[in-house]
Amino acid sequence: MLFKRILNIFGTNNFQKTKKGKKTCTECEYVYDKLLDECPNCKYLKILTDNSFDEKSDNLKVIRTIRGETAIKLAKHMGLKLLELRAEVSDEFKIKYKKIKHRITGEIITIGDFRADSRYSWKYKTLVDWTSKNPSKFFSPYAAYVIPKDLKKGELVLINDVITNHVSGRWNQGDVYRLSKSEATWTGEYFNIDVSSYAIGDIIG
Amino acid sequence: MKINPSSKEIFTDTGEFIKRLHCPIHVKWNAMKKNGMDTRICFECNKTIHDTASLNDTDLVRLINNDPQACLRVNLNQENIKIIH
Repeated sequence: MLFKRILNIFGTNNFQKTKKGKKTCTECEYVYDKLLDECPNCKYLKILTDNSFDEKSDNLKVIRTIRGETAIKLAKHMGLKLLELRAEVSDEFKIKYKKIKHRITGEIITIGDFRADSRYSWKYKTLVDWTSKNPSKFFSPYAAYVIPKDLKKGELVLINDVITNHVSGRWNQGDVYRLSKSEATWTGEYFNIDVSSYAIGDIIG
Repeated sequence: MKINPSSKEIFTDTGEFIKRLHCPIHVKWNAMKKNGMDTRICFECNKTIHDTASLNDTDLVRLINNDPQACLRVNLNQENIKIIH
């Protein structure tokens, strides 16, 4: 029943506005922040059936990360092997930003650099003054990695959405970035995250 | 020059997309062989890596137009970069 209903979700991401800046997903009825582009509940359900995760990236298996009770419940129903972890919120992370709007065109820009502020002076009005967001805050504390059945002990993989908190880089304007993507080694019980693989102090490519 | 550290995409100050930085080898800048003031050689692939700290937008666009696969180094703390989200 749950499985059939969830499979019907993979169409458009419909929502209706509710009070207090929230949206209610018309598919799964989950109430979520209006600032999000799509229902987070449905987003992680889609990941479970997204075949692009079966393709390797840089010759590494890609590990699916799912978040939220519904996706975890479905994954268990599908018989998938999971490594469940709690998504902790850490106050260490901070990404500052300011939202501005062009007075004539209405274009909305998000800037993250104090030095960019003066460049957008009189042409723009401030929508959200300098504030910061914490990238370790997710919609649910429940998260899990889906472990491929053929994953071997000691195998290097790519995780596109790391659950545990690691500092990816620091910027001299105070921003502290969270590692979201990383290479990791499967020990047979957990993943050893190689923080340096995708750290962002120096970006090369 | 602007960079989005999450997507690793770099743009000119006017918002023109230049390149998405991606290196599957993850070699560190300090581990590369010095090659003059502004470039280094990667030991793994033998390519030249250009330090964008010394480039302006015009130089950078010209460089990528001539060689779209050119490797770049961006440090979040360099003077000529602005960070966007």
